[in-house]
Amino acid sequence: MSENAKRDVLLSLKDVEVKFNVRGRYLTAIRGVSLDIYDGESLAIVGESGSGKSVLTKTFSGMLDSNGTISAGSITLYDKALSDSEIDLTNLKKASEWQKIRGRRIATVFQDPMTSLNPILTIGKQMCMVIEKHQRCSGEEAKARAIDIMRKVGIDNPEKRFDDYPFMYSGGMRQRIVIAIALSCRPKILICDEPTTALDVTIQTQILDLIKELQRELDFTVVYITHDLGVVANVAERVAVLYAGQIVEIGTVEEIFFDPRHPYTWALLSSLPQLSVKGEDMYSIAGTPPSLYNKITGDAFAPRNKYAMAIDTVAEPPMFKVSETHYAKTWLLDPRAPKVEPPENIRNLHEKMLAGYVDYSEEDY
Amino acid sequence: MAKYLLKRILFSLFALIVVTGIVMVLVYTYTNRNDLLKSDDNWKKRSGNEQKLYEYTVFQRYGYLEFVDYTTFLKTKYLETEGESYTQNEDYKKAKNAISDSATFQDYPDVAEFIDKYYGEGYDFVYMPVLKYASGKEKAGGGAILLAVNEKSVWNRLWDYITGFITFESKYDVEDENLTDRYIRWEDDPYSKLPALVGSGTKHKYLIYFDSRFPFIHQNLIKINLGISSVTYKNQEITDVINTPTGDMKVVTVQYPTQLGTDQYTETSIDFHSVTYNNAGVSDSDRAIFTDNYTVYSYQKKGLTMLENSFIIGFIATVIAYLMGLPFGIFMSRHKDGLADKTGNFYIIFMMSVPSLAYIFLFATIGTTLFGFPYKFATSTTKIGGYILPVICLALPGLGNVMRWIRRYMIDQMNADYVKFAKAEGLSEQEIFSGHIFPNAMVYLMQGLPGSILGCLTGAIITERVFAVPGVGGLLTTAIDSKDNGIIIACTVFYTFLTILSIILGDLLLSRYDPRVSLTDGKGGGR
Ligand SMILES: Nc1ncnc2c1ncn2[C@@H]1O[C@H](COP(=O)(O)OP(=O)(O)OP(=O)(O)O)[C@@H](O)[C@H]1O
Ligand SMILES: [Mg+2]
Repeated sequence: MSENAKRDVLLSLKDVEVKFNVRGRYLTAIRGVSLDIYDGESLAIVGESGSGKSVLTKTFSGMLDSNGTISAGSITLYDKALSDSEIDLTNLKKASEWQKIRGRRIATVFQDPMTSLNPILTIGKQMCMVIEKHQRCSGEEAKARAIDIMRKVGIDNPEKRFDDYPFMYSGGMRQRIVIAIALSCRPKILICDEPTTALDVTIQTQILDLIKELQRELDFTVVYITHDLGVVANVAERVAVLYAGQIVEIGTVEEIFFDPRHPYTWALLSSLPQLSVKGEDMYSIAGTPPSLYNKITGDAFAPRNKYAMAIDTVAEPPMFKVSETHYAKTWLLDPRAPKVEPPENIRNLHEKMLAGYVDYSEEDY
Repeated sequence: MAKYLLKRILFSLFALIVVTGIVMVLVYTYTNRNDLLKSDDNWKKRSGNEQKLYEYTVFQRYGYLEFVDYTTFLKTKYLETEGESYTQNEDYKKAKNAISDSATFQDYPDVAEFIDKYYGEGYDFVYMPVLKYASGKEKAGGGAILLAVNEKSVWNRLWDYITGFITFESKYDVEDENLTDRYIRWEDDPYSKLPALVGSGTKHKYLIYFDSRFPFIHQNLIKINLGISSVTYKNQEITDVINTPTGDMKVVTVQYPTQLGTDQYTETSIDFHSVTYNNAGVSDSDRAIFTDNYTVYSYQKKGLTMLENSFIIGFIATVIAYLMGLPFGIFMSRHKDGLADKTGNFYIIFMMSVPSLAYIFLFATIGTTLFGFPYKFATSTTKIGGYILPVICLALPGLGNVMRWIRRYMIDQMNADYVKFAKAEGLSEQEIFSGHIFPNAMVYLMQGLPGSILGCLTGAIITERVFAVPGVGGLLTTAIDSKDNGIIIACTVFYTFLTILSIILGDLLLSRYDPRVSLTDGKGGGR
């Protein structure tokens, strides 16, 4: 998207590498990711299970598990509201420093609304705990704010429901509350880690619409994590495709869907349920991702890539620039590479997607 | 909720009855009652019909049957008409010998009367003819015997047990024609200087009264009859056994009822609140003390009752275990795998794996040699001294247990999604632990809390035995050893009752604490 250039960079990741200590062996979950996140945009991170989507966002939400470290790179948060307008998040060591970032600057909504709330505290109490923590207010004032935001996320009769317990809410309602709590402190970035996977399809669309609406009103940045390219098409402006801990392609949603360059992106798009023909098996990508315990030489996707070339097994491809906003990490973009067309089924995706997405939201499967 | 509770209580009562029935069946039918005789020297000493008669005495004592000996029947009959010297009476002698002739005894009028009487009450009859040698000489213990025997069926027994479970005293309880002034009324109690409910014609004289013993108000009006001991506490109701003070006599200076109104005082241990009606005739020495026929008394003792001893020790130990175990366990979970956690785990495993007898003796040795705590309960010179070691020996394993569970539940909860979410919204570790994790971990402990406290009423077998605490802990095991069927059933009913009560109270507590649990039928919370 061309406006991105005009937007301010909010968060900047440079060559970030994350390692986990698993009983003395090291697993490299993120392998040198650089990424700028712009103020007010909505970015989707896609990739198959285990590709590192959650770990990548945890590096800047401060939620890395205790056996994980950011072993290289830097993460800078730019925020004019902060006293020192930029903070390197990799330097935050103390728990109290992270508490100023988490919730207040960067909030996270997790996949399962059924378990994201404390079952034995009232909704109101849980909201007020967060509000009182971050905004110097208490008691009635916090309650008023909580009720206000409950109304914003579409809870009917918030005054009455304030004292209800989570089990009295439906799944969709709970996810609204989770979003309300996450947004109650006006964070600059909202990370939604598969926010709708646990919900049924109609509720999914409602929740996504709600997030979009709130984003317009409250002006924050959203980072979606999802396997579901249908969701991506619906909500995101930009898409980053992650494979084995690396961003292999990044671009605007149009660029990724209608002009994808990386064979892995092609494969991902081919596996869209909207493209499956009735009666045929769904397309799935052959093979498995490489083990992250070992050092990977060349292109990590090469063993599963039917377009792989000799160079892919020897040298890692650089990020080739396709446009101002569109980059892809594949040797196919090298001028010396033979010309390869994307597979037939993902051409004209535009029309298919439009048709498909409509079906997708109305059919209840 | 009230409706639900009522249903639960009714169901529990039903369960209690079923359990009682099962235990009765087990105790009375599946144990061989002839085993009772094998180790009985009195049985071995006897022979012939006398030995058989003795068997019936034993079976009666253990509650298998009831029987009436024809001789006893005659004794009652002739005592009434002939007085103390009835044995000299010719009719009596003839009646007694009537059963020696196996051919004609049934026609003898006294025998016929005996048979008629007990036949009407559903008894069977056992006749043992005279045993003679070939020479015609009577064998030792071979005299003829006639018995009316009522073998109790389990159903009878269960029915009697249930219908007699709770009894109320009434002014018509005493069978004495000479007692004409029967009443129950409030009077001023000369011993407590407070009002007391006093009965005449009731078994106890004082039905409700105050004294200086905890809980200061006492009653004899309603009685729970759990079961009667046939061996260890000869013919005593088990509720009396566990609720009677133990220890040395307590001597106080009071006035005998005969001294009231004068300025004479006497030093005595008699508990004047305990008096019951004397049916057998008041002796002259009792006349000097009492003004009425309530002259059967027990003594005041310095110690507490068996039940109180056990409960106090258990309760203090439980409180200590929770008060210390909760913070320790929480600390361990917060510093999982740290030094404190490892030490705590070592302690938990130690307490779990070392047999209780071993560590009780260990603590007893340490306590007596290093700290000079009194060893045997009864020999303690101070009142609380004797409690110290038993309490410690119960508190330490309890502590390990509380630490183990709260640590485990805390760690379980630490991985819950809502904890991750709370962290992602910027709450501090302290806030998450005290606001989210601890309350959720307590959900699991909450339900067991009434059980831990009520469980103290069952006593601690080994600890009480090692320190010679007069408590209820050994009741059931001793009863099983001595085949004291009454106590076995009493204990089973009592323990079952406690368990059922613990579960109901636990659920009630949980429903107060955990909003997801609601005590209504069908749809509860979304658990
Ligand atoms: N605490 C941890 N210790 C060891 N390995 C970890 C840890 N957390 C994540 N990983 C590994 O890091 C890699 C990336 O995990 P991540 O959770 O980011 O995947 P994901 O893309 O979010 O997958 P999903 O779609 O299944 O959520 C995986 O191989 C995972 O096994
Ligand atoms: Mg994930």
